[in-house]
Amino acid sequence: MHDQRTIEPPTVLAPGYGDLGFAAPEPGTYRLPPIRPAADGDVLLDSSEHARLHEAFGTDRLVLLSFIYTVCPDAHGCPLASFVLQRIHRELQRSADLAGRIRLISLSFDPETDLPAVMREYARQFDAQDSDDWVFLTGESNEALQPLLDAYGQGVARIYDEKGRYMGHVANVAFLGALFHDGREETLEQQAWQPMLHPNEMASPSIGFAIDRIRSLPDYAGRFEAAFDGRGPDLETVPMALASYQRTLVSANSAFDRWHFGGKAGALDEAAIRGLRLFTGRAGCVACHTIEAEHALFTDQRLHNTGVGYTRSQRREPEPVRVWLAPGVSIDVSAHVIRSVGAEQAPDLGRYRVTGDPNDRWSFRTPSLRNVALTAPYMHDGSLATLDAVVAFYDAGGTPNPLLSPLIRPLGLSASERTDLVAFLRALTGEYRSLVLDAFAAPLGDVGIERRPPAAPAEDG
Amino acid sequence: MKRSLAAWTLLGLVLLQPSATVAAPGATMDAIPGSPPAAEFTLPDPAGREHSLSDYRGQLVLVNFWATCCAPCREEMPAMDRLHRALGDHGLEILAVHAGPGGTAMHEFLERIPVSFTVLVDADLDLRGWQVPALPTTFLVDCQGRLRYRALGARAWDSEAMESFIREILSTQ
Repeated sequence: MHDQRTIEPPTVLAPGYGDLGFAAPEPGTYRLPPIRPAADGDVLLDSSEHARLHEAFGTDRLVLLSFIYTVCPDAHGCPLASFVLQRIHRELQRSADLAGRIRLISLSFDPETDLPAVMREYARQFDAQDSDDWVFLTGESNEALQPLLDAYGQGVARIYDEKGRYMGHVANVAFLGALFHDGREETLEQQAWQPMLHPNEMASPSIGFAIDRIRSLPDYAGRFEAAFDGRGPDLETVPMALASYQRTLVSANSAFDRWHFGGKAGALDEAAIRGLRLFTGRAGCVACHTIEAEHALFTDQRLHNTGVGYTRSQRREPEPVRVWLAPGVSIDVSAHVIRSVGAEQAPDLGRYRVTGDPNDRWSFRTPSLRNVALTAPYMHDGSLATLDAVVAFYDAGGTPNPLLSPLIRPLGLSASERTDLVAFLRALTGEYRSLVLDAFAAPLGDVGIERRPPAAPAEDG
Repeated sequence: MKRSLAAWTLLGLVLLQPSATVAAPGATMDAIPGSPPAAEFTLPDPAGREHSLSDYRGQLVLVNFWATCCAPCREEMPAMDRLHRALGDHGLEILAVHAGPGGTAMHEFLERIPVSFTVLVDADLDLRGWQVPALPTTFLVDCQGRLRYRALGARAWDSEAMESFIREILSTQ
């Protein structure tokens, strides 16, 4: 009996190989985005020399700029972005019309891995070292590159730690008291089954099905039994194992931590310091995103109504709905056609779902702000794309509704004050490092969870 | 009760197939629905000699897409070589198609990690009819030239699970 799992039709991540999954539209049949000035910023050449991006562009050619990363531990293989450029590069070399008129630029958005020497070696793999036609760039650091990524609308989420483990949005969950946006669960063990069963997530038809599946995987053979005194994967041990792992996902030592708790002058830049003053002062953010005397999780672990949930409940479907079939190709479809083939979105009333108290409608959990620069989109429904939009939302006083939290009010911030607040939020990006194997051993706050797993030996760091 | 019945049925099925292995996802390869015919290609090896997929009709062929700039591709090469050394005499052929011209980097790599199977060079990345959404991607083409299985991403090609998976298919060809 072979493994008869079937696969979905393959998704073409980049048309580096084979045929396009769609017919390219005829020139003139689609609208291009408005032409804007291309942003400039500091980059590093593969010779380690500093340069401005515009210097790399030059003034003599059209430029095709591609954002890449060279090291891909992705379980599903490396994306083909550079291969697309390689195909173009070879076409350019052959075409008398185009040779010398177009410059390709591959700029890494993973500067901490992609040092100039790495980019140089990467260029060599494509026979493009010291080429004037194809230039490989990186940044000095994540922070130095961020303004360029923002200017070009490149949302980069660094979701793997130094061991290649997925961190995502679950860093520091060990310290949370209320879980899920509506705060319906209190411990990681209790919440563990829900993503495995939820139809929008892993969609296992039942707990028993999931347990059987885990039991059947050779990777786990004997390992649950070894960890849980002879007990195999079951209703309790699976959540305990998952929760113990999640508690190792600790991210700290952000610029804010080094400056505020570590007393390291210069760790926060001037804008971020001004942002912190606003955060704890006039803007009042700290009322919910708390900073304690010796630690800061940036959440009061409570639920509040900011109006985001209310807005969603009042939203009318646009008519018709624009559906994107492929980049540059869209059709307008009547909303009733979409309803006929899709499930109606269930209303999300937040805390009300848990308490049944009408006054709890549209109240959602205060999220921690650690690593907030990496976790776009924002708000419980992902309705705001950038930190600037979030700050503007709060500056305007949220969305008025009968149950709006009294803590939310118009702030009257100036444009530069809003920028300062965003600079501060960016300074909350910590190191993705497992400080200790058992996060309970970390002196970062009172977690208030009784059911702790047996202590494991601490790791280095 | 229902669940234990299902478990017994599953166990029964497994027992009926003495060589069955229940593999972890990603341990072996994924079945391609409908087993469509593999698209023909003719590509040069690094020495310039041309090979066509149809030259290998009647053999089980692993067609691996790789490139030297792709770390997981480089890393799976030695294991793929061990698989070929183990099963090459039993009818398994491996064609490793390098995406892009290769050049000095590919030659250096193959000097450092010599492989017993055939490397081909798709200099212009213009192979048609092969769905390669990422590198590495590997297809298993059966003796009738049909696409039977696909692996997206790297695999432990010399693992016991993989070797018995391939042996099993060889035995049915």
